[in-house]
Formats: sequence, structure tokens, C-alpha cells
Amino acid sequence: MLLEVPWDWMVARDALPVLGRGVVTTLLATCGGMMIALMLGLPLVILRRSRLRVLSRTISLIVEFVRGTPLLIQLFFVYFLLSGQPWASTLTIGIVMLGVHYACYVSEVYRSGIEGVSCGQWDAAKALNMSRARTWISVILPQAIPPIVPALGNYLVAMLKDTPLLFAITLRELLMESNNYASRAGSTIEVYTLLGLVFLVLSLAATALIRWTEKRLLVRGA
Amino acid sequence: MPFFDLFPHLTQGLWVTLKVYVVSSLAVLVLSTLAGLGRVAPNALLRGLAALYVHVFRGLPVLILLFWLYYVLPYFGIELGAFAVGVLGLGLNYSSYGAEIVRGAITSIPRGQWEAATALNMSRWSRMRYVILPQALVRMLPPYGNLQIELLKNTALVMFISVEELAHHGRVLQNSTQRTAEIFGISLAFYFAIAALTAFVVRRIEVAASRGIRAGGAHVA
Amino acid sequence: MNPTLASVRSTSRMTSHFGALFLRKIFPLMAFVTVLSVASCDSRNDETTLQRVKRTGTIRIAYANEAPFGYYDTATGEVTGEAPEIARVILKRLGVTSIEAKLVDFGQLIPGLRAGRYDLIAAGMYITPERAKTISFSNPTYGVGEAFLVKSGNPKNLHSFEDVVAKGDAKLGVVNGTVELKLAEDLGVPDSRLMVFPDNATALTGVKTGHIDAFSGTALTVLDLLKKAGDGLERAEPFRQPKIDGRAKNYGAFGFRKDDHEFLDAFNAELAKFIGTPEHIALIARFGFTKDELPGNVKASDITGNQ
Repeated sequence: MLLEVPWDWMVARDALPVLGRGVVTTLLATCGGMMIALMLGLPLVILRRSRLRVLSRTISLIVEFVRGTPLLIQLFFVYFLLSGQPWASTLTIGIVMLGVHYACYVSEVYRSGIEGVSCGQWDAAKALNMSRARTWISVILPQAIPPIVPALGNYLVAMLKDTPLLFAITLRELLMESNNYASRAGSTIEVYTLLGLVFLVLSLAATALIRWTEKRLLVRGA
Repeated sequence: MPFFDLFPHLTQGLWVTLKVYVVSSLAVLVLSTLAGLGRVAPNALLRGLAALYVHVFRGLPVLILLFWLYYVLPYFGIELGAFAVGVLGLGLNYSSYGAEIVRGAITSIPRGQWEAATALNMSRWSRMRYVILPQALVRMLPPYGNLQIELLKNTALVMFISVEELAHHGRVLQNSTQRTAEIFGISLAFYFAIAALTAFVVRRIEVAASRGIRAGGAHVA
Repeated sequence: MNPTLASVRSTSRMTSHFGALFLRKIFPLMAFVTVLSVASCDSRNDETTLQRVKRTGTIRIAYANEAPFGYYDTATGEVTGEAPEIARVILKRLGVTSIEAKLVDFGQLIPGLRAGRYDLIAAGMYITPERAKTISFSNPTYGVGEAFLVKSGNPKNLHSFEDVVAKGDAKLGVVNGTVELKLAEDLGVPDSRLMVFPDNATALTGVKTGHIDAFSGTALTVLDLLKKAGDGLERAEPFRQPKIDGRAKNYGAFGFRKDDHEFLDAFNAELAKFIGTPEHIALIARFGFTKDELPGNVKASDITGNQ
């Protein structure tokens, strides 16, 4: 009785503005989350390399814990603890949690970049009597970051694909808008299929953008 | 201690999570191997299909894939149960990453190995089977271990298609007791323990599997 | 490394133990297990839903975890609430011996029903003309009005949604996905003064801490919250009911697929014999429902305008 696929073009067409509204929030959450991940990843890796063992061990443990547990449960934990706080909108919670989760991955990428800078650079900076902060800012980081851009880009795509989880904390991103629409229209086939296509296009476009950036960096480096 | 009254519910969910995890791990392993071998197949059509498979399933968020399989697939006359949809969705998604690990490991084996095996008059299949794959398997293990942990984390998403696993029980308990920190704290600890166990097991397999390679390498040197 | 014949042979011999074991035994076994576990596919045929339910004695129902309408009771590990309990009685009379309940996100209730994931929505879902375009409703099992939960003395003097709109500094709280959220939006409460909570308990905290000035829920929800944790709070009285399609109450019912009219008719027939009986009133009293919430002689078609 269900063998005839009930695709309705009118329902599909009416879904487009709904998806358009969701895309804005989804992209906002992705960009905001990535910004936090990039900023927070750096202090994480620097603290992890600290000479103070207690500090570096604690940071390692936190990073491993965040990476070893589901983002969904982390979202539930924070969302239910904070909901009711006027400053904690679901968008804020969503962006911060995506950012924190991915900062732990990004910090590993930074670490590989930093370890890729040869030891001689540290020695040379010391010989030049540079302070530790100065060494980081003007010697190590400028060499460590360009080679890791592709890896960072992969996490941007991964984060984009994790944004649908935010529907679980009532953020009205693509999935939530689609669910609401499916519930109103009483039909899932059109809106979920379009939703899949939207994500496919977004992630393929993001991947292409990363490849392009990668190439440009290679050209500049040569 | 009021803390312990949550355990019966949460451990009930934990078993389902473990079941989803183990079965979808198997699905990922099978599908990754097939798609990965497809990526390096001599047949161009097969290679193209494998590439399409990888790009489509890697580009889709798992959650969207799960919703599609659960709510849309029945319209095509295919109605899988919630558990089967969960395993299939996780399997399709993570095998697209797994296939690239398989491909990467196979293509990283030096050409000389293929040439030497050809010189020994081995057939294409035997070359793959006796020379290339045994070495590639060892190289696959570390990235594969990370993939397993990513898979574990996303098993929580099957709660949205009515599979009553750990996250589902946590959410239900939250609704009835509001003891957020305890409920989700325990859940997080459960997941972390499984992740740590996974990392440990993969590490052991790695050591066991690389024993031969190391000996072989030493012999060559 | 320049591999010689000898090195190839030695490498393959030494690694073949794990490799061969994997390829010959582990991999086929895993493939087999995977296929087995995924192939638990159930097929459909030309039976109607009612025929299948009667033949197998089992039915799948969906609820959305909202007390007191339909929720998972952590004490017993079973689904309960007004709708599932009435469903148990009626379905038993239709010959059902086993009920499989699925917890579904509220927004998925209708799509999941239409996709054939379950046969009945038992979530106390309100009958609305919009929803009736995609699914059929049984006749209502209850009717309930809206209420505001406020701090004792109602400091902001809020007695209707219109009051909230008019007072520029009044903040209203609602639970996500509920009719109240839609009401507040439709009646013009601006987003900046409308706070959406994940569940009733957190909304209650919102009123107590003063983050919101009023919480809008059904009269039942508000009474339930007052009973559980009502210190320093009250129900706003008097309260001007928002008019929903000309009615002062919302009516909740069971949801059916459009083509299951045979099942719906059988269900309605049993429902008519049960609603309003002392047995019914005793059953729903545990969930805070009283005679005030009985649907009277309102029929689903009165609300949807169909049939």
C-alpha cells in the first residue's frame, strides 16, 4: 500500500523557504563554533605543553574526556543545567559546546603543527634572547599554522555535520525546521530528502573551499 | 545513597548502547573493507561506484541519514526496525571514512611489494591477499581505532529513532527527576569507559599484528 | 628499502598469521553476523491495520514523554499517562494483548505514524484543523483550558496573553513544541520576551527565579506544578482564555492514519462506551484530570470541520 512513492512537488516547493531559514542558523552555529574552537584550541595546546606536570596532565585528561564522550550527552548536560538562565540562549549554548568539543580536536592538530617546527627554531629564539611569549608569537606559530590548514578544514566540515544535534536542545536549525515542517505537512519524504541534499551540497562546497585554500597556501609557500 | 537509584535505568540503556556499538562496528568493518577495496579496484566502474559511495555518505550528517532511513525508506516499501536502521545508518556513514583508511593503507604499501609479488607469479588476488593486505591491516589499525571511538560517540544518536539506549534513558530520567548533573555525569562516564576500553583493545591488536612486520622489517634491514 | 624475493616471502610468512586469520575466519563471520542482524526486516501485505492488530494481538503506539498526557514512568519502567491508559482499556476490548510503546519526539509523532512506524498516537495530542489534514483523530478524551503560573500576588498583573503583549517588560515562558508556544507567537508575544524551556520543571524554576513573569501551560500542567512545588506561586486568576478557532478549550485525542477508518470507527465505538463512565474518571484521576476536563459531547468533526 506504500509502494507508490508519494512525492509531492508542491510540498517540496513549500519546504524551500523553511530550509532557507534553517540554513542561516546552521551556518551561524558552524562559523561561531569554529571560531571558538580555533581560539580555544591554542591555549589548550600551550597549557598541555606546560612544564608544570599537574597542569599538563589535567589538560590532557580534559581533552581526552571531551573527545571520548558523545557531543549529544555533553549538550544535554550543559543545556539542562543552564536552561532558565536568561543569558543562555540555545544558540549560545550550541555554539559554545560545538566550540569546546572541537577545540579538543583542534588542539591536537595545533600540537602536530607545533611539533613539526624543528627544535633548532626554539634554540635560535633562545640564542636571540627572545622571551617565551615572543618565541611563540613570532617564531613558532607562523611556521606551525600553514601546514595544518587542511586538517583544520576537515574539522570545519565535521562540525557542520554535527550541527543537526543542536535540534535536541531546541535550536531551530535545519533539522528542527525540517521536523516542524514534516509535522505540519504530515509528509517526510520531500523535506528529509531535500535536507540531505542541502547538507551534501554544503559539505562538498566546504571541502572544495578547503582544497582551494590548501592550493593557495602551497603556492605562497613555494 | 540516592545516587545509586539511577543505575538500574542507565545500565539497562548501557546494554543497548553496547549492542548497537558492537553490531554497527561489524557493519562498518565489512562495508569499509568492501568500499575500500572498491576504491583501488582495477575496474573503473567499480572504482567510480566506490568513490560515489564514499562521497555521498561522508557528506551526509549521521543524524540526517538516520532520519531518512527511518522515516522515508518505508515509503519505498523497505521497513527496517529501529535497531536495524541505527546499525545501517551508522554503518553506511562510518564505512565511508573507513573505506578511505583502507584505501590509504593499501596505497601506502611500496610499489616494490606489488612488483616482487608479480615476479613471484602470484595472481592479482593472491598478491592482495598474501602480500599487500596483511601489511596494510597493520597500518590501518591506529586510524581505525579513532574511527571506532567516533562511532561509539554517535551511537547516542539512535535515541532519536526510538532505540532505547543510554542517551534515551538519560533523557527520560531527566524528564522525571531533573537530576541533570548525576544522570548525564554517569552517562558520560559510561561512554568514556567504553572509549578507553576500545582504545586499549585496539592497541593490543596493533601490538599483536605488528609483531610480524617488525620482525620482517628487521630481517630486511 | 629495496625488497628482494626473500624479504617479500619472509614478510608475508610472518604477518600471514594475523592477516590470514582475519581474512579467512573473522571477516566472513562478521559479514554473516552483520547481514543477519540487519535483516530483521518485516514485510507488509494487504491486510488493514485493524485486521493485523486483531490477528496478531499486538499494536505499536507512540507517545512524546509529556506528563500527564503520556510519559515513561521510571518507577515501573512502563509508559503511562491519560492517553496510554485509556488506549490500554480500549485496545484490550478490541482484542489487543500486547502493546509496544515508542517514545518519539513530539514533532515526529505525525510523520512517524504516516510512515507506518506505529499505528496509533497516544500522546493526548490536541485536535486541530491543520493536523486533521494529514491524520485522523478519534473523538476527544478530554478538553482543557490554558492557565498562567505566576508568583504569589501576580506582581505584573498578567491575566491573558494580551496582557503579556501589552506590558513591554513582561516575560513569558513556554515549553518547546507545545500549543502554548504557537499561541504566544500567534498572539504577538515578541521573541525577545518569549523564553522557550525544554520541560515543565525548568520552566517552573524560571518563574521562581524571576527570569520569567509567567509560565503558560494547560490548566492541568499548572495545577500539577503547583501541587509539586507551589511555594510562593499561584495560578493567575481570573484568566481570559485565548480563543482557539472560536473555542475556549483544547481537545485531546488519539491520532490514526487517514486510511485506517475501519480501525478508527472500531476505536471510536469502544471509546463512546467508556468516556465519562466512573471507571474512566477513576482512571484519569491519578493524572490530575477531573470531571471539568471531560470532553462533553464535542466530537472530533466539530473541531476539524470534516465528515
